Amino acid sequence: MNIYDIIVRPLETEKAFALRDQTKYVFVVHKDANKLEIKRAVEEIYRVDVDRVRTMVMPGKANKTRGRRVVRRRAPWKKAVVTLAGGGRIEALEA
Amino acid sequence: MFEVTKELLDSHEALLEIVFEESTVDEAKRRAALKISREVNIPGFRKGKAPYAKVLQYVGEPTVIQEAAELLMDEAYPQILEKGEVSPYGPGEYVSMQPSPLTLKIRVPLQPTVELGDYHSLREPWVDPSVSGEEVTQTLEQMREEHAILEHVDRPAAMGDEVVVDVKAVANGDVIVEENEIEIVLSESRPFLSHEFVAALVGMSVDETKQVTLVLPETVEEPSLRGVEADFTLTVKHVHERALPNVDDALASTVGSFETVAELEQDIRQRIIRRKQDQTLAEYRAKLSAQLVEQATVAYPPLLLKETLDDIVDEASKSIESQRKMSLEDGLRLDGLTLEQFREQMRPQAEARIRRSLALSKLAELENVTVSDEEVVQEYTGLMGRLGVVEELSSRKIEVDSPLGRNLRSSALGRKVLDRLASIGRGEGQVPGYGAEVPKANGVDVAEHEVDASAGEVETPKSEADA
Repeated sequence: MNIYDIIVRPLETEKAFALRDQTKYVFVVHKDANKLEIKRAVEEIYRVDVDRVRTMVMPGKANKTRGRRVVRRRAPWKKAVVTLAGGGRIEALEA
Repeated sequence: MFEVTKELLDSHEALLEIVFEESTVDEAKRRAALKISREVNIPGFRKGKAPYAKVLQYVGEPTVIQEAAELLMDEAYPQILEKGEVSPYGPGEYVSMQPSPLTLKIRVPLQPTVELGDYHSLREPWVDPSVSGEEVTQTLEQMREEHAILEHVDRPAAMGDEVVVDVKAVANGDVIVEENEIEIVLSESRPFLSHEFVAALVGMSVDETKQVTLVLPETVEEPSLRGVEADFTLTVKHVHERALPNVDDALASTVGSFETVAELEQDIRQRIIRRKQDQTLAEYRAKLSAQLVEQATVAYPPLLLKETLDDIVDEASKSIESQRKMSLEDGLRLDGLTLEQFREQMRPQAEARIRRSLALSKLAELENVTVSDEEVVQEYTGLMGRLGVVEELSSRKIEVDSPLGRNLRSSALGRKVLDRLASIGRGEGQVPGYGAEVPKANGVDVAEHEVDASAGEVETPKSEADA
């Protein structure tokens, strides 16, 4: 799997921004990618040292359609919280 | 924090160019981003929690700069005006904005300026009005007519009699008048409807019916009937001979609480002189204020003209609504005008009103003419008296700072200024008028005469910017 397929995009939410103070960056990753692949991909794309990767599969949310009994469900997706080694920062993701 | 450069425009406005320091702009941009994040729903963030970078990315830098510029202007506008040494008449208007370095151009309307010139040398001859014996006699004659004694007579109607007539008139196949027992005085000097109509009635006896065809005069109310032939059917019901009373003490006691004819004549003389005094004073003031305005050099911003035109349109709108029971737009459409054309037509009137108002305000300022709170209360009491409001109501206290109080103050100030102008025009102290010493004219005290309040209105322009 290509490294650019592994890292889908950085996750930009209030919580993800708050974690950056702890040198933790949150990404949306390919659902089949494992922690090692994610570590290598982040190190290669952003030229940083990764200390630790924690992943979790987020359940797809249900979209209810008004007036109809159909419930659409979004696909589950994988989130990775990447902790950088030695208090490093990813400049490309900073303001 | 910022630099201000000023350019004075011919339109009596100042063009201010404000260049903000970078550090000031950065700080403002951050505050602006916070404000935006509180108002805009940014996915992944609660309102007001999105970081600066995310807001910049989400709404774009131009939006943040625009918001920052507005914040800076709101905060720094008074200092900008102070630094630019500008005395504004009203709120400024954005002209342009450059983002880097943040440079704003605003156009600020300036306070009107008035130069009255040598107004102390204004002169206008004052002529005391007089009353001739002929005018008194005419009034007495009118009183005799009004108090004529009517006597039934059994003879044909003659000139000078009063007849009671049933009248029916048909014009163009329509009945235009059908009234019974109309009282008509057969007079040559003041004929009812027309001379021909009166002539038709002369010679008619009681219960006699006559049919005549007459051309309706140009004085009839309905325009479509003017000059139209109408068939009249006239039936005389009564003929009264009118006996005019003699000018004697009896007449004097009938028309009022006078004991002698001399008293009645004096009262007539007083009333005529009061009317003439009012008229002469109003004309005198109008001439002088016209001279004052003529020699004054006045400069004012377009905003003042716009506001005055708005007032005129508003007045016209109310007038049309009350008189013609329609909206201003409908009224103008009937006259073949658009609102814009009407405003353009009213422009000279608005300009004249501004010039007069500014010149008189300046005169009030230079001559230190003011109106005290007590005078406002007096004005209120006078107004209540003229309106015939009972004493209890008129004795209620008026709030001098209420809209009515301000209006009365403005009205009183206007009259006082015109009084001052009138005294300047005579080259002496006071002239007869509001609050002034009243001279005796033809031996008659005219202290209680009234002056048209609307003639003395002064609209004081705004003194502070609504920035």
